[in-house]
Amino acid sequence: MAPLRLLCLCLPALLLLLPAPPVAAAPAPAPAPGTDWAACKSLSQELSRLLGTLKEPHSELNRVQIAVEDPEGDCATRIRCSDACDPPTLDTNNTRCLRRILQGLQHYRDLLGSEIFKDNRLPQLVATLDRLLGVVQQAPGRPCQAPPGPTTPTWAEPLLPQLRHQALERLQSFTAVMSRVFTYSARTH
Amino acid sequence: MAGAGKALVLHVLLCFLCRGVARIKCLGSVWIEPGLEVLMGSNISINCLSTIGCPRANLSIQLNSTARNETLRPLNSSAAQLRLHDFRLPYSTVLCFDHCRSREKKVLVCGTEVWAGYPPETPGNLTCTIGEHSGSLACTWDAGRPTHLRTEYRLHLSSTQTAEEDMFPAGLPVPLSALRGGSRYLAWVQARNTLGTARSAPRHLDLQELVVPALPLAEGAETTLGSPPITTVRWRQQTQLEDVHCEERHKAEDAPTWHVEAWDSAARAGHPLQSDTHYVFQARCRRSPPNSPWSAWSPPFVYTTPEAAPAAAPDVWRRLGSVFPNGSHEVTVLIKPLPPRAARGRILGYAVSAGSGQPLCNTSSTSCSVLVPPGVRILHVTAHNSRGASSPANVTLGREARQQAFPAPAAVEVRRQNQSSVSVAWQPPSGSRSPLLWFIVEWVSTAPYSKEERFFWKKVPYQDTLTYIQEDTAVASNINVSVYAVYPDGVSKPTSGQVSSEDQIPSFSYNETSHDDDTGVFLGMGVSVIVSSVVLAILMFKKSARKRIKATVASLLPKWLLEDFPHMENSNVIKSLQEKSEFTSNSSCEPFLDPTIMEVEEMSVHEKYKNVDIKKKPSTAVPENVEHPQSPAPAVSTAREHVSDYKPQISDGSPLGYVAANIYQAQSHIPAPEPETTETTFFFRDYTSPVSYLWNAEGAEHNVCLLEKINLILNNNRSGQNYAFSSAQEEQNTLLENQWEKALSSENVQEQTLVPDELVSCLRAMNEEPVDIQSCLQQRIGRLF
Repeated sequence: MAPLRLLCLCLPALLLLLPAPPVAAAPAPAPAPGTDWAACKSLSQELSRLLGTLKEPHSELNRVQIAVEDPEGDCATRIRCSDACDPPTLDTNNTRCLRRILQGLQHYRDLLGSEIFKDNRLPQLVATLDRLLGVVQQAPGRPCQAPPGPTTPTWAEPLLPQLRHQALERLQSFTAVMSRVFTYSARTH
Repeated sequence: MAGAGKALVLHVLLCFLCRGVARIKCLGSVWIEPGLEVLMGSNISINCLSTIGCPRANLSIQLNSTARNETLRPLNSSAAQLRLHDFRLPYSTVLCFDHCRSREKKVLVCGTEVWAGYPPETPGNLTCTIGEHSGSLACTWDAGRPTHLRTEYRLHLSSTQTAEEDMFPAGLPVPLSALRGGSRYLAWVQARNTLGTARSAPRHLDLQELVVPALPLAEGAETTLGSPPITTVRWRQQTQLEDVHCEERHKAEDAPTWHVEAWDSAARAGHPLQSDTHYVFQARCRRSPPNSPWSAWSPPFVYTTPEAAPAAAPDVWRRLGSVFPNGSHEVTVLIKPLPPRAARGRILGYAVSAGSGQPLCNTSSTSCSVLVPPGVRILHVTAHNSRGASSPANVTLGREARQQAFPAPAAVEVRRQNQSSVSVAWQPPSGSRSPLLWFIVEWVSTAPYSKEERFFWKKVPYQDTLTYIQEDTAVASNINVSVYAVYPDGVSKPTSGQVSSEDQIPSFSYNETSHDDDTGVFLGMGVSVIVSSVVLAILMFKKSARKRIKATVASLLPKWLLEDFPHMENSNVIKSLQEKSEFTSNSSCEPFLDPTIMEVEEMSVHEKYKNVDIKKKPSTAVPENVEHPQSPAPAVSTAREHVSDYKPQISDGSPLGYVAANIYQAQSHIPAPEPETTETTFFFRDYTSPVSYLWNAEGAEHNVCLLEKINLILNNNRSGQNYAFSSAQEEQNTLLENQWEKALSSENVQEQTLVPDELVSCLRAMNEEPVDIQSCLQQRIGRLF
C-alpha cells in the first residue's frame, strides 16, 4: 500500500513536472472569476523563499519524528490526487484545486498562530500567508470548517521545537505544489 | 500491563487539558505505576508500549527531556519498563521513543506526566468572617505543607440548631442566603487528594459575631515641616457599625518589619518618618467584643515623605598641595557622599569655605581643589539639597608647627589578608590633651605593571585600631598606608606602613614580578638556547668530535653495557625449533608448505607480452576472446607495442571500479561504447577493492578466489589508487557516464592490458549475475505529505 500511497501523493507534483500541453490544444478553461493568478504566483514564491530562509537546527530536529493527525476527507490540508490540481483539470475547472489550497493555507495560518509557535512567532511568514489567503479567498467555494482541535498535550512541551519544525517542513512541501499550480495557472490565464 | 487500560483512560481525560492545533498521534501508550500522582520519595515504574510494529522495538524514555535508559528493561518485544527509586520530582514529563527503524531517527510513541507529592496535612487556624456589606461568609485556614498535587479543599458547615450539613468549595465566599440553619454552625475543612484525606478540627461559629466592619479608606497624608517632620495619614471610615476598633501599620517599603499602632478615639497621632522615603500604610478593624475577628488589612497606601535638609555633615578629608611664596597653598578637599538616611533627599552639591565669607568651591562632585589663603587652618564643608544645607564638616589642614601637640598613632602594621583584603592595625596615640575625634586611614595603591597611583581614604571611629581595605585596590602590587589621628583643633602627622608584592600570603597564587625581572628571565633563556644550539651543531657536524666523544664514553663505561643483546646463539626458542624441525620434516600434516619450486624460464620481452594487446592510442585494444555484453563486437586492433615506462594512473573517478565486469544494473543504462573502445581496457584501469566486497556480499563465493588473483595482478600493475564508494546512485550514474566519456577521450591514460584468458572467462560468467542495486532516490514530497 505504501508505494501506491506514495504515488498518489506525488501524482499532482509529477503531473506538474511534466511539460504542459499546448494551451491552444487544451479545452476552453473555466477561469475562476476574480482570481489574481499573478499575485498568487508571486505570493506563493515569496512564501517559498521565506521558508527557505528559516534557520533551524535541522540536524537535531530531524532525528525526532512525531506522528501528527491531519484532517482527512473534505478538510484535508494537503493536496491530493483527487483535488484536480493536475494541468489538464486545471484548464477545465480549477475550483476544487483552489478550495483545497485555501483549506491548506487556512490550516497553516492557524498552525502558525497556535501555541506551538508562541515562543517563535514568524510574523513575515504569517503576513505572507494572510496576503495569499486574501487573494485565494476571492476564488469560489467555501473551505471546509475543520472542527477546532485542542490537542497539544502538556507533556509535549519539550517537543515543541520538533512540532514547529515538522509543521514548517509540511508547509514547505505544500507551498512547492501550490506554487506549481499558481505558476501554471498564471501562464495559461 | 494491567495499568495500560487505566492509563489510556487517563490519557483521554488529560487531553481535555490539551491546547493548540497540532494533534499528536500516539503510536502506543505510556503509563505510570502506581499512578500519575505518587508519594514523594516512592518507587515508580514508567511503562511504554509501542504499536509502531517493528519486529523488535528499541525503546527509550526521556524524563524531563533527559534520557533515562540506565534501568530500562524490556518487558516484551514491544514494551519496556523504567524503574525509578526514591522519586522526588514534583512534576515531570515523560516521553517514550522507538528507535526501531534507525538509530539516528527516533519515533515518538507517546508521553505522559507524573506528579510526586504528599497527602494533605490537617488544615489549621480556621477563621471565618462576614464582611459588613458583603452578605457572604469567607473562611481562611492554613493548609500546611504544600502537597505539590491537585488537592481539593471543602468547607463543611453543620447547623447546631437543625443538624443540617452543607459543603462548599474552598476559595469562594459562602452566600449567607445559602445558610438556612440559623446563626450557629459547626465548621471544618476537609482536604483531599489522590494520596489521602485530612480534616480540620471543628469550630463553633456564631454568624452574629463574625461580622467585620468595612475597611477605612486612606485619602491622603501630610508631613509637617518641623524637626523632626511628622507624617499623618488621613483615613475615611466606611463602617456604619458602633464600637469599632482599628489598627494602623506602616513601614518603609524596603523595611522588613511593620510598626503597628492602635487608633484610639482621639485624633490620630502622626509618625516621625524619614525624609524622602517610600512608606506603606494599611489599616484593619474589628468590632469591640474580644472574640470578634479582625478584618483583613486594607489595600496598601504608598506615600513618599518630602525631602528635608541633610541631617548630618559629610565625612571630609584633604590632600595637601604646593605652598606658594605668599603663604597660600593648594588643598584638594575630599568628600564622602552622605548615606540616604542622612542625605534626606537628593544632594545637589557641596560648598567649601574658609570661614563665613564666600565659599572657595561649589561643586557637585566629591572632590574639590582650592587655593587656601594664608593663615587658614580649617576648611568647612556643607552638603545641600533642595531643602537646605547640612551642618558644616571641618577639615583641619595641619600645616602649622603646633602639630606636635597632636600625637600620631603608633606601630602601624599593614598585612595582606587575602586576594581582596588588606588589614591595617595601629596603636592609639598617647599623651594627647585634646580628645581624639576619629582616625583617617589613607592609602596609595600602585597597580601591577603600572606606575599609576590611586588614592583612597576612609574615616575610622576613634575607638577602633584596626580596619580593612576591602576594595579591589588590595590586589595592587604596592599599598602605602598612612594613619592620622584627628582632634578638634588639629590633625596629627601620619604614621605609615606598606605592603608590597613580596608580602604575599601563602595561598596568594598571583605572582607579581616586575618588568625588569621578566626581561632578565627572557634574556637568560635566550642565551641558554643559543649556547645549547651551537654546542649541538658542533657535535652534529664535527665527525672527529663525535668519534672522540664515543671513544671516551666507551672507555668509561663497563663492557657489559656495550654488549649486543640478545645472544641469538643462546636462544631456547631456536634450540627447540631446531629439535622440532626433525619431527616436522617427517610429519604428513604440514601446516605451512613452501611454494613448489619450478623451473625458471627466461623469456624475451616480446614473448612475455605475447598475449597483450597494446595500442598506441588509448582504448583501442581488446583482449582476445572478450565480448562486450551489450555492444556489438568491437573492432580489434592487433597492433602490439611494449608497455612504455611506468606512468602514474589517472583516476577517472569511477565509484564502480570493476566496470568491465558489468555487474551493476545501472551500467545497463549506459550507452554502448564506441566500437574501438573495449570494456576490458576499462576494467584494467579501474579495478578497486569495493567491488570485491560487493561480490562477496552477493554470495558469489566461487569468484572470490579468482577475484583476489585479479586483484593481485592488477595491483601489481597499477598505481594503487582506490576510490571512495559513493552510495548515491544518481552520482554513480553520472560518474559512470563521465567515466565513459573519459575512457573515450583521454589521451594520456596509462594502458594496462595484461589479462589472462581465464580471468576474462571469469568476468563473462559474472556478467550473467548482475548485482541488483536498489534506487535510493529520496521521495521527499511523498514523505512530507
